[in-house]
Amino acid sequence: MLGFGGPTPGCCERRSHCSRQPGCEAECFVAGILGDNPLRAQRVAQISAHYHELGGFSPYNELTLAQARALAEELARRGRRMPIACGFRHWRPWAVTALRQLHEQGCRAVAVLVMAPHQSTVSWDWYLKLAAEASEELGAGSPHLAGVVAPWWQEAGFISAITARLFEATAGWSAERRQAAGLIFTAHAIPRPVEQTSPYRSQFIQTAALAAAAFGHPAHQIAFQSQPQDSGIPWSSPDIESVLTAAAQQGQREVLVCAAGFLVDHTEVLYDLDREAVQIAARLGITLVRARCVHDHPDFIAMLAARIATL
Amino acid sequence: MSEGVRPGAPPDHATDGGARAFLRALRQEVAHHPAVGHSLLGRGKIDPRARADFKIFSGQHYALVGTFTRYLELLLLQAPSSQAKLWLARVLIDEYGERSDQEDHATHYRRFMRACGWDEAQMDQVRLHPAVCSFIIEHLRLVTQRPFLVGLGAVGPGHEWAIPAMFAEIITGLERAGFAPAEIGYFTLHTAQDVDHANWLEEALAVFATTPEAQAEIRLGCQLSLAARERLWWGISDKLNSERMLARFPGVRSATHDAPGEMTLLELRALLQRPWDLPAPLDAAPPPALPARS
Repeated sequence: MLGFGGPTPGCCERRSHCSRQPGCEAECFVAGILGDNPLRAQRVAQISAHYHELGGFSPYNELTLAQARALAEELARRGRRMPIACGFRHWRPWAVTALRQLHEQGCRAVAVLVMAPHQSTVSWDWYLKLAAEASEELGAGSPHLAGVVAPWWQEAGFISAITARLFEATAGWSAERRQAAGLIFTAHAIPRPVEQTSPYRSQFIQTAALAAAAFGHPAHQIAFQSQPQDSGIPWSSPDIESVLTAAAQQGQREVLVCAAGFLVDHTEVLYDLDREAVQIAARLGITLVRARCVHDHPDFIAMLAARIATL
Repeated sequence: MSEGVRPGAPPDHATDGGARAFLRALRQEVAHHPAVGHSLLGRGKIDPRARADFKIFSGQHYALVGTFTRYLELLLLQAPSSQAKLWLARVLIDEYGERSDQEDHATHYRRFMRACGWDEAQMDQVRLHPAVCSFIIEHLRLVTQRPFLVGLGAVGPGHEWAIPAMFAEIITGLERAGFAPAEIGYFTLHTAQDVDHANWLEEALAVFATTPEAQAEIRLGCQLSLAARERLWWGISDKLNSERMLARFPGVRSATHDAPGEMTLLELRALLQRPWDLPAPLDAAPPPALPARS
């Protein structure tokens, strides 16, 4: 399982000029994403501050490991017992560590599962490139990369897991209240030159439409989040602030937000939605209720297990 | 400032209409622009790239290297005075190869490309990311269809001020990928020369940047150039991820599988034979508002 990763306690040992002091993890993690360039130090500090406000670390890795455990259990239940290792792009355990671990467990062939629901070159292609690079690094000590789990943005198990989270977030609401509230699906914004060559946007639109239909909502919206504020070029739009503003102008007073482009509630969800978007909504007179991401919902995990079985 | 021709005296700081202060602030703005500090460049320090990564990078970047003199040549035609023409011509002569053993920058760059694994015959046949083509079209537009100072802002601050900082990051990545100094001479030489070019063009800019209107035009050109540059780096990242993935997983579809067809450099050159017939405008974001003056 390959995912983005998030900072956990302990030095990443990748930056030459890291202070190696407790608390450096967030800066190292963000510098690893943006580039370890002094010209970007201000931006690195800004984003690192989000992590520090939430305790200095990200729950991403732990939550992804929980998904891996659930998937291993589901596969075992289906008679396909196989070890699963998680490797991350921006934090330990790295992809190479995951492959090495599997090789040491006796695996001679592995399937790659990309933990991103919508395809672009900054997710799908990059994760696969990462797996291949890790394999090349290990050489004879790497298992053979035997297959790639096909994308699943429109798969029933993923959609039903999202829908279940929407019902969970609105437990106790009347059907009328659910229908009256705005429904906004979000995904991470990507830069336009990358969006233009990929199905990222259309796949996300399809996920949102399928989940809204399953939830029985008549008029959902899509929005993109977590754009860098200092970019000089367009990123995916509309952004969440614009969509909330439009909702307020139409008299909306309650919205349900579902981060369908993310699989777990990690920092970009916890900060960018639960703090920033909630504050924007409050300023506009809107109450924002967020549905949890799919995490290890049984429908989602069962869908992944079924796709692995087809390899 | 190098020795040699110095067309016109630099303006008096007390009477230059705030030109020097404007240029200082603009230099800071360029230095901190996300195009200059793009992750594609800065990540090379902690996430080393391979020679094969730079093969893809160079196949895309080459299109720009061979086109920069064209921007200057076209802008020269727009220059409003002999003084401005002299400053531009001086940079242009250097770009033609005066201080590079009479080799122009494109020739130098091809040496780097051969070190990356390209055959000479392949170099013009590379399929270019749309952001690469857009970069070139945008700059041809800036130097032919906009006021002279907008064009000067694009090739001066937008290029010559930005390149040394960007190339410093690229050089670090190249060294970590195992390139020998002789193989990356284009980058090291260009970095040193562009520091000179930046200083020469700053003298020209100081002559002109004496009114708020002139300063706004220079800044606009710089912003539009850097925005095109930011799109370019993302485009090259896009290419790098998709082509390297496909090389290793030939049976797997890239996210770019259904992307529109791409032009080769040869096809792009043919399209741009007549710069006054440039393709439709780009969907560039408007540049940010002018910063408040302290």
